Amino acid sequence: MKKITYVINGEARHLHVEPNDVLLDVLRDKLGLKSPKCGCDRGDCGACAVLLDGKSVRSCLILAIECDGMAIETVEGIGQDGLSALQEKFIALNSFQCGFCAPGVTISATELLRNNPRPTLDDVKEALSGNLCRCTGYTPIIEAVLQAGNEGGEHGKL
Amino acid sequence: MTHPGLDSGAPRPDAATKAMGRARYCADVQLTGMLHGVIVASPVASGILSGLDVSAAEAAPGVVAVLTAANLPGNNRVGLIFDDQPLLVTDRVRMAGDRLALIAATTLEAAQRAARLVKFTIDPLPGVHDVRRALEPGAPLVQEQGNLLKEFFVKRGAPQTCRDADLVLEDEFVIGGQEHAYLETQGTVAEPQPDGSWLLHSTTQCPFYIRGRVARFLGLPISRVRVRQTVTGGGFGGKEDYPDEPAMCAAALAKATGRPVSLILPRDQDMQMSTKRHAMVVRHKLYASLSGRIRGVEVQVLVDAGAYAGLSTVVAERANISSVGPYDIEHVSVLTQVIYTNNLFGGPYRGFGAPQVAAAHEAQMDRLARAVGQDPFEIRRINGVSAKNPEFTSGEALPQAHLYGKLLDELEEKSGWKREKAAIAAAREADPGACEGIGLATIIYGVNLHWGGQRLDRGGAYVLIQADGTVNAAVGITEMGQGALAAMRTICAAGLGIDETRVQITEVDTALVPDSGPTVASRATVSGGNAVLDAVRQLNERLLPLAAGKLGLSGPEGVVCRDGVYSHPSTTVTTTFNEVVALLYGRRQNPGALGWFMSPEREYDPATGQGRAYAFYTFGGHVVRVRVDRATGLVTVREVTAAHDVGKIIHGLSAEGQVQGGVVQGLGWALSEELKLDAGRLKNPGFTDYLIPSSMDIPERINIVFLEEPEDQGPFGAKGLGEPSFISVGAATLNAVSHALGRDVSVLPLTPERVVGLARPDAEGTP
Ligand code: FES
Ligand code: FES
Repeated sequence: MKKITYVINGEARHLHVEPNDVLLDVLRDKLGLKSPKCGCDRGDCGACAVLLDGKSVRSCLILAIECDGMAIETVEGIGQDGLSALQEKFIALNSFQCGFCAPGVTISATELLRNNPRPTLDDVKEALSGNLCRCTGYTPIIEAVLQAGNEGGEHGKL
Repeated sequence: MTHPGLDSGAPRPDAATKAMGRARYCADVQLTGMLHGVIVASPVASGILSGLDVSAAEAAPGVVAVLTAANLPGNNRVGLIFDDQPLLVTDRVRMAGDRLALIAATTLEAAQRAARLVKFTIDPLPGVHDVRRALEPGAPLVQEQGNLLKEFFVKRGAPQTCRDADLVLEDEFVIGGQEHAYLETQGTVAEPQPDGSWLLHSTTQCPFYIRGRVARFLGLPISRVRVRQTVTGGGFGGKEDYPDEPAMCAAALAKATGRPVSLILPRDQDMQMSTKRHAMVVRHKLYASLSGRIRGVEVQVLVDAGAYAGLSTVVAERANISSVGPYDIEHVSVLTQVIYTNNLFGGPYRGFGAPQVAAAHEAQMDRLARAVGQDPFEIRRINGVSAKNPEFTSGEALPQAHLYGKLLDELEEKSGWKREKAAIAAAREADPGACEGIGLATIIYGVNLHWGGQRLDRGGAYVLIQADGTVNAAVGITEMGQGALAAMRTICAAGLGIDETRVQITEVDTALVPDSGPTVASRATVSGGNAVLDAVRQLNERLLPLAAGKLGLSGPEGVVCRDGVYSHPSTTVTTTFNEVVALLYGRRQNPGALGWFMSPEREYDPATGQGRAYAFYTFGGHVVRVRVDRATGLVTVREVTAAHDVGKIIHGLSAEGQVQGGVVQGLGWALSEELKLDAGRLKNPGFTDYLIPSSMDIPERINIVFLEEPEDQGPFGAKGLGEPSFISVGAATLNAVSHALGRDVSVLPLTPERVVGLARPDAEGTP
């Protein structure tokens, strides 16, 4: 057991982890943050994505201990002060069906829009290429990201 | 005209919860004292289990229970229709993924560690891996009673009289299976209750199936087993019957330990063990005259069921009647054989066998068009069902047969067929190496249960008006992502005449709503929606007289409620829904109603396939435009046009979502998703090398056409759409690639390796 610290969704949290604990399990089971999902457990599907110091990572591939002292953002944090412009678009456009991919997609798209507030279609497709979705055919997701970029990119909350 | 309240553009009821990452799926259920279950499975597909030693696993840290067939606390039989499958292997191993032992431990890691300590010996036996050889004399037997599980037939007219036809087109089509690849894997959390009853939290399309089989397993009456559907992360047919198996495993471990057990399949096990779209071999022979009119069709469909029946016979029953297509043909013979092998476990998947047979019948239509020098649209007009020739393969005259021609017209126009074909021809003229193609495919589909399953074609719904004018509704059909709850909410609100945000609708709890049959066959909107409307009708019989009284009228005739306000053309007085509900409660009248739906009884003869196979049908079609790279074999899909006869749109965004999702899933099946088997073991049980489409693989454009001509039996005229959105995508893609390559194609999926082979100038036949 080692004591580590994360800043999770803006709040400092201290916890004990084993050297081989995986970040996804620690977030879900020790910290009760259930938005990251396990779709494959081997880095293929993107459902477990979180932002680590602002960069999206697959939390099923990272050891919890490696993130000591870092800032972690999950979808719980992204919606906490009201919906982001992106989330509003996701809702208005019926972007998700089963919704299992939604947390990972939200993380990747949020990262994109923060770095590139006016993405092109190709930028969006590229940014989401690591997030598998089996239900929607991606079109309503891509459309929401593009619209959030065009309408909310500079002023909206992302 | 659109009924007020339909397709209002409101987001689906679960949109915000899902967009905020707050939806709770099966693996998110966490209970005090909960254990984690894992399955130890056979890596080989055929053999005899001659040794099983679990002592080291039992002694491992954190382990609470290890179960084998010898100490299983319940009935070891799984079969739903045929009794051919054990929950845990006793001696014979028939498929890779057969369960040998179950383990429950305090943590998932401890359970997984213990699983690796289970020692087993399986003496290999020769297996059956080619469905075409399974019925040969001397083939190894998968099940003792023989490898032929069941046969289905169509016998119409006398195809043998067609042998002198001008044209005979014959081929064998080898069509691959498909993994559902729902993003949420299978699982259940089983929770023993203090009073000896059970609560299960399951990801499923069919909670009533789980309830039935877990009750049988535990030897309990069904009222003592309650299944609550958790938010379900995709199903596509894969969560119809299969979820019962992990649910029984979780219940077994919970029974043995007396503690809640969460059993969630890891992705690789899910892909190996759970049911798949059936691989099929379709032999299709078509007799036609030079005018392009088809005289007769003979089809043989070989369905690779895998080692256990599951619902393969139900899928085959549909493949059987779908194998000719939306054409009125005088002489038809179909033989569909459901065959045991030691391959993957076949089961329900979006389209229920229809996509596989459509690939064959639609490829044949294009070959016929080429042979007689007609356009693919024209050849379908010549042979398609119509008001003049309304008879489907089952011999029934279709009341909406005229819609097929209308669908063709819309599809031709919206896809720019003539323009695109001319452009492709011009490009070829300029550069003979240019490799572009366009393909068409159309289907007919019964969007309800086949005659063989009509006893299940029913639905129930409770609608309860609360004292403040809001409404709770509970339906027996399930939401798995497709938007069923959105449709139910819209139908409920439109029927009562109130805003849909007033209606709160919940996932299925088997203790609260009647068994409504399985949520399959694109039947949710019709069976659930009609049940909701029946409840609404009963409530309106109580509400409308009260409203009439408030409006100063002597009777309720002509009183309507729109946006929560009751009015009548004869008066300017109005009253609100809330006021009328207050009156209902003030008089202590019953504020709830149980609505019910059952489809009409039908006659059908399984020996000939003649009669009313389905209560009603829908037509659908796709045009797919591709570019093929001959060197790499890569097929790029540029544009897809989908046309569907939907009756009536209830929730427009959900309907469009179904089509967009169905198209992309269909393209995955057609082009990249290949289940690679090594003696029955899946060699690619993960998304690294089983390639489902990503955002980079989608078409540049998807055009959608909905024909809205109401179906009498549907709520507000609506019929289902979930499966038709998928069914003809693969066939149209096959035809497009065939057009691009300028040669016959008889195989799916068209992976790059296969396309490279087909593109070689010397290529013969199909791989
Ligand atoms: S669960 Fe981490 S990428 Fe799939
Ligand atoms: S909405 Fe189901 S996986 Fe994306």
